[in-house]
Amino acid sequence: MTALLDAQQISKHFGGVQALQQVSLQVPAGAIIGLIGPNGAGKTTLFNVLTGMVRQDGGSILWRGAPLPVGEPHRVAQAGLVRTFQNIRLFPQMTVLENVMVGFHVRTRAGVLGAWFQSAAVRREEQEIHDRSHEWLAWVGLEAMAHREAGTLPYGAQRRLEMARALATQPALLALDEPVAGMNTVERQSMAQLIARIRERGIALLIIEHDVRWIAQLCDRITVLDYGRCLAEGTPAEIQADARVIEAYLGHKSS
Amino acid sequence: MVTLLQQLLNGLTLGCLYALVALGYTLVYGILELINFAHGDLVMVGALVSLSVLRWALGWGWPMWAALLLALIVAMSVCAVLGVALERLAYRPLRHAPKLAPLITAIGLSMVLEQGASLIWGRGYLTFPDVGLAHPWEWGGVVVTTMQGVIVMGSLTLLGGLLVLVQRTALGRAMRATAQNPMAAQWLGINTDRVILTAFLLGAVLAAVAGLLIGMYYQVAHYTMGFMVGLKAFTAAVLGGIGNLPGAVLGGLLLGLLEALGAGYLGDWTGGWLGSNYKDVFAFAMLILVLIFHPSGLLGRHAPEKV
Repeated sequence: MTALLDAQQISKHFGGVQALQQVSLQVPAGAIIGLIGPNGAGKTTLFNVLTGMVRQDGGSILWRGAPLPVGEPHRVAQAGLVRTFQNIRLFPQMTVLENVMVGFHVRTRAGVLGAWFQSAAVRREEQEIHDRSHEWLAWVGLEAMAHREAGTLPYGAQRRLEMARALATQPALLALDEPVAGMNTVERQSMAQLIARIRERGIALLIIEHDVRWIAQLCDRITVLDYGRCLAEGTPAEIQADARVIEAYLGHKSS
Repeated sequence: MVTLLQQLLNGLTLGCLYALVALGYTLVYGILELINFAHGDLVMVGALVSLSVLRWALGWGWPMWAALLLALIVAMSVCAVLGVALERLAYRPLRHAPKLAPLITAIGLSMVLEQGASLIWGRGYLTFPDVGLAHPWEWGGVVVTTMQGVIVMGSLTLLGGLLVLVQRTALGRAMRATAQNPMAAQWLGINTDRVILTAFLLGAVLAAVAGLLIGMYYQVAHYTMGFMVGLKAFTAAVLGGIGNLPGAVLGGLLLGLLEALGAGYLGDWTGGWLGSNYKDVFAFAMLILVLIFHPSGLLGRHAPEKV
């Protein structure tokens, strides 16, 4: 089976700094892949390259067998690869419901003329977007807050809203950059459950995270980066038993 | 009392015209945080283009309504093309440049449009064809012309339409999303370049309508007329809270009313010391007062300084 996202021998340097050296990573359809490593290991750089935010200097990236449109996030999203960021990026002055409705934009037709003349087809589409946005909110447990301004939600709820909005675009792969950063244990577990439910819908996930135990319970496979190189790759059990990983990354944490 | 009502009506007419132009400033500012100083000159282009079309069509013996319709369509098309061209050729290449660069560019574009217009239409004042809507309707001393009715009804319809577009449609959602967080909007599949282009297009079309109406109302057009209109409309947008669409409408109406009241009463209030020619001073003084006590404008949000 070919992978959804297939990155081979990726290299990237900024000036004289070699940020990534020949890193390979595959995300099969429906899988959860973890990306871990100490601070400065190149996780975010790899993430940006994999999602077409910046172009790699060497190596190839194929999304469903074709190159990614680099520098055009809207086309990447249209192709079914959607990402979130470490810092939450909502539309703070829109309602929670409207935030999710924007997510449907990618799968609908919204022209100036159609918007103005409000043809029957446009109105039907609007109604459907409205109803399905409510469904997504219920699915992530935010239905009660649908009409609040998004910027006023508590932190954990904002993260959930960001997920609901991304899911509305009907992605094949959802890439999450530190989705539980700044959360307490209860919130982390609840996010883990949400991620597991997303996978049950057949959506693949690529997740950057610091908390190794948290990510080990979720992932099918984990890639460990260190100094821009792939230090290890394998199942969570293999990674947690790998002597090099323990030395580079887990050593100071496991007691 | 009659004077008051009369000035309120005149002010409403003027305010509607300011609001139409102010929306163009606020639409673009809301998304790009760019003050498109060339926007006022699109009003001038709209006025001069409709003047030429009207003269041509009336010269061929077209009925007035058909000539006006043609003038409206041609002016809207020319301004739409110009507005889109400004964005594509001048502003888009500077999208990631420091904010001062597009601002200076906007001032330069304003000069280019003015000088370009002076090459086509000359440097003299041009008389706008009389479109015959001057019929006065009088109620107890208060006079309203058909023209004023057309301006107020037409503008309010357009303003309402735009607010509905932005607040209630998928396109409007995409515009608000782009304004509030462009990167997030892109990652939801929104082509933000196209949204920005649409904002320029809508602003330019409104400017064209304003140009035709202003030409009809004052019956004169000139290649520098865009400067003062632009300045007033920009003031209106700031007064209402720049970036906020209902704010631009409110600011426009308020500025029009202030100006008309200033024109009507300054002489009485100051015992003839200041005449109605100080109406602009009065209007801008009000703006300064509003900004001292509510710096983000009447409907604006207090946001951290970004420029």
